[in-house]
Amino acid sequence: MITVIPGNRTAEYPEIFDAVHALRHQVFVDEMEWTDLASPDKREVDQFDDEHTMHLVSMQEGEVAGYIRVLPSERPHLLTDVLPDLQEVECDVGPDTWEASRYCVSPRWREGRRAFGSVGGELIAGLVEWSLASDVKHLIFEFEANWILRALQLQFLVQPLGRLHQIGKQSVVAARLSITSTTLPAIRDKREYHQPVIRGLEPIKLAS
Amino acid sequence: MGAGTKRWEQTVDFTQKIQQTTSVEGICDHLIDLTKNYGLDRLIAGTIPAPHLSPSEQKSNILFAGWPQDWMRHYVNQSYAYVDPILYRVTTAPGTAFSWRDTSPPPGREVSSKRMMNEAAEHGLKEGFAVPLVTLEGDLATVSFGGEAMDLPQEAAGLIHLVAIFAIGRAFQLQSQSELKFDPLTQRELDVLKWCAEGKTDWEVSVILGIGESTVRSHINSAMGKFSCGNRTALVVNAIRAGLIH
Repeated sequence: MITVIPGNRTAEYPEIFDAVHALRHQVFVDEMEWTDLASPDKREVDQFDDEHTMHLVSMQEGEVAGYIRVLPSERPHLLTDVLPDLQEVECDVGPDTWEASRYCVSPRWREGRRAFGSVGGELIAGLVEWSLASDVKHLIFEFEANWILRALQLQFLVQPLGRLHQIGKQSVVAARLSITSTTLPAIRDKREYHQPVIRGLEPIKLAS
Repeated sequence: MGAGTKRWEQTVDFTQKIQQTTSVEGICDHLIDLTKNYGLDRLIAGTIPAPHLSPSEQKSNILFAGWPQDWMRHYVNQSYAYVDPILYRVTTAPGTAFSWRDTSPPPGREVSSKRMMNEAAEHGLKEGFAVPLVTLEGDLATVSFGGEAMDLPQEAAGLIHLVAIFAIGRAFQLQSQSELKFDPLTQRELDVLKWCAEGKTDWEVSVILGIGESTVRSHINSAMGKFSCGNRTALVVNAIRAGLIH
C-alpha cells in the first residue's frame, strides 16, 4: 500500500524518512551514479524536500519498498531550477500541475530489469489516485525517453517539453503527462489489481 | 525563427497529431512525411520476435509493415532474423537510437549478415536508423527507418527518436483499444456526440440535426451505456480518446 505524507508532517515518521533518504541515495547515487547527489551519511536529501512536497511511499511487509515525490509547479522545481536545459518551451504551471521526481524501487522489490513490476506499478497507480483526489491533472516528469512509451501504454496524454538529452548512457527527456479518464483504468488493468492502493485517501491540502 | 525552433515546433505538432490518429496506417503516413526529408522513406516497427518463431508468428509481432513486400517475404523465408545486425544490436544493447552503419553482425554470421544487408540495399534499404524500446510488459520493440540515401543531422536524429516513441506508443494504444471492444456507436449517435463536443445543448443539437430533443437525449443515453459512463463530459472525453470525434 501507498502512504501519502505531506512535507510538513515528515517529522512524525522519522524511521520511514530515514529509509526513504537511504533508498534514494542507494538508487540515485550508488546505482545510477548521479554523483552530484552523494552525501557522506548515505542519505540523499535536496532543497526540494521541504513542507511543500508530497511524498508517496510504498510500504511492503513493514519496509520502504518504493518511493516517488511530487512538487508543486508554482514553486521552484527540478525542471526550473536543476534541469532547465531539458526544457524547450516553458510548461504551464498552476495548482493542477505537479512535478514528479526521485521515482525508485528498492532492489529487493524489483521484478526483472525491464517489466512494470508490482511496486513500481503501485507507485504510478498511487500517484494517479492522489492526483485525481487532489484535482491535479498534469504531471511533469524528467525521465528516460523510453518512459514516454510506457506513459502512452498507460493512456496518459503526453506532451514533450524539450529535446532528448544524452545524460550518461540514458536519453533523458522532459514531458508533461496529462491524466485522462482511461489512465487509472489502464494502470489497474495492466497491474491486474483494481482496488485503490492508497488507503483512506482524502484530498490533502498542503500548508501554505 | 531559426530552423532548429521550426523543427522543434514540427515535432511537438507531430506528437499531438499522432495521439489523435485512429489508424496504424495513419501513424505510418505521418511518420514517413516527417522522415522522408532525411532520405528515410520506409519503416518497420514491432516487438522483437525470438528467431525460433515460425514465419507466421514472426509476422504477428509487426506493428507497422512498411518494408517492400518482396523484401519482407524474402527476409522471413531466409530466416534473416538470425543474421540481422540491426536486430542483433537491439537485442544485445537496447540503449540509444543508432544508425545502421554503427552495427556489427552477430558473431559467426558475418558472411550471411553482409549478404542480407546487400540484398536489403537492392530493395531500396541502403541506410537507416533504428530506435530500440522496451514496452511496459518488458518486451523489446523497435522502429527502424530505411531508405536509399540517409542524411540525418544529429539534432534531427534526436527528434526522429522522440517521434518514433510516440508513434509506437500510439500503435500500442490502438491495439489495446481494439481489444476493449466497445459496441460501435451508430452514425446518429456520432452526429449527436460531435455537437455535444461543441458545447451545444440538447435543444440546439435537435435543431441542427432536425430531430426531436428527446431523440437527442436517447442517443446520448445509448452512447453513455456503450462507454459505461454517467455524464456527457465523460462521454465526450471517452469518444475523443477512442478517436471517434476530434
